Amino acid sequence: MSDAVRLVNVAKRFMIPHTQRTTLRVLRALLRRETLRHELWALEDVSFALAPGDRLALVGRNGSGKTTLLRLLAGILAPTSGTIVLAEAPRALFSTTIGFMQELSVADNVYLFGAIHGLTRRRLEPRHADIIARAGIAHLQHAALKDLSMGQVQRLALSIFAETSERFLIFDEVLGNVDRGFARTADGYFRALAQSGRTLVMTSHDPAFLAAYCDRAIWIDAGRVRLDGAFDDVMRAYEQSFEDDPPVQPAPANGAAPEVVEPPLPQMEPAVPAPPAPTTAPAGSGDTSR
Amino acid sequence: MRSFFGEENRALFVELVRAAFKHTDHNSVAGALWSLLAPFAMLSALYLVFRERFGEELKAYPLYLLLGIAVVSYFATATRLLITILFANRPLLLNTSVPRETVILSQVAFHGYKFLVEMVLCTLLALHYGTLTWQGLLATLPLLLAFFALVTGIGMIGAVLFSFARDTEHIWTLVTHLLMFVTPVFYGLESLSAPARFIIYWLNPLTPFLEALRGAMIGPAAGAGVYLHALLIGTVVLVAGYAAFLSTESSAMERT
Repeated sequence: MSDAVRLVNVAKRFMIPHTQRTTLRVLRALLRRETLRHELWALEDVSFALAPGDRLALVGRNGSGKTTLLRLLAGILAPTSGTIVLAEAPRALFSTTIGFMQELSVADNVYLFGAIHGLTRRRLEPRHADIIARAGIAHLQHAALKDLSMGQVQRLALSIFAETSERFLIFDEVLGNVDRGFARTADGYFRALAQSGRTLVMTSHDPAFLAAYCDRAIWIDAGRVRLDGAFDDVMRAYEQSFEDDPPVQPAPANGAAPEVVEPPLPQMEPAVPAPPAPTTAPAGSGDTSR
Repeated sequence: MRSFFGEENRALFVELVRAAFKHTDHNSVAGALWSLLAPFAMLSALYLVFRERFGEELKAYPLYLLLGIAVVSYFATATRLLITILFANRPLLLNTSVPRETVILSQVAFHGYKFLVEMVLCTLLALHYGTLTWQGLLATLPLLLAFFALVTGIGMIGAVLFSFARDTEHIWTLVTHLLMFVTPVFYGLESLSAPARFIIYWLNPLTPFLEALRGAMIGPAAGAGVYLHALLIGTVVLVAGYAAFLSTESSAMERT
């Protein structure tokens, strides 16, 4: 079976400006042959392949390169080097709030958000009422989107996106603020997706969410693939990596005396009998190892 | 990235324009009329001030003024908006696979609607003055297309430049404020000295459009050279702007 996705040695470099760029600074830098930017390699040497129907969880810490990798897969960004071969263009949901217009009604936003995600009005029109009802906001269809709660907007977004029929779907941390009721609805949707044979790539900081739908995971660490394998194995290793993280302590409350952190007392250990002192030290015996 | 000419993208274009209309006061007839108030206020002010100085020598002076105001206002408004369009729509463009050109064209079209309404009013005025001919009306259509091409091309170049230097927006705002004076909006080219006429005709890309449009709607018809000059500027600027945009859009988007 041919791959649904194949990445070979993919790298992505961003050029980060040192300073606010103005015309004069740019011209001066050009004349002096200076650069106003420095390189930031968000991804390096990323290679993997997905078979049709694979359900991949991308995990990694904040800033590790997960979203950049998803944007490369979605064709939003181009790789700096390497090759990405896709059997079919994916449909991606990166945010459940981007693609709406706050001042428009819920009913109008269904068509706008749908069009931004490749769903035409002709296709959405017969499903319009169901989409809003599925989001649980039928009574709000004439309200402006700005009057909805964040959770309601997320429900609407996912309800619209559920109309997509592409065989390769990408989800980037999309279930953040939904309530338990919609989480159950969304769970039904993702389970159905997982059983439908579609290729899925998902990111989330919730391991339980990923565990429910993914059978494989890739751990991205500092822009590189740290581990690629069965979901449970990768997640175990990934979770272990947090054990060495130092805890973040809150600052002292205003007015409170600063807490003095005293160094820990040395462990009391039974004294070791001193070896008998040599009567004459041999010259050059500086070895202090025991 | 979805195909620029595919059905999905055409549907997206329509929805973006529709949403822009609904988002602004254009969603109602009164709102659309309200948005025409600014050019008519400008027309009234310029007519009152310059009627005696230029109105005698320029035929159908109110129409002459309205054409100038409509062309300069649309150019200034649309290009100012396009320069920052990648920045303003960064979340959308970095989190969805919508073609960036579609977002740009939807804004050109949305603001172009108001310009076209003003052109319809100009046509009615030309009928009132008895200066419009069928040939003139037909000649207007390619000119308008070329004008939209000019606006789009300059907007794309501006969007790329903005990603390199943030003060491009301020510089361009200053330039567009000057356009009302360095374009023959309320005066005729003939009233200028030869060097000034040369500069304003050859260095201001709006002047050939305005001369050709006025020739078509007010007469006498502009020479073929002026007409072709306008069409050529629109085409060349669009091609150059799109080429610049295509070659730098990804890096421009990342820099923005």
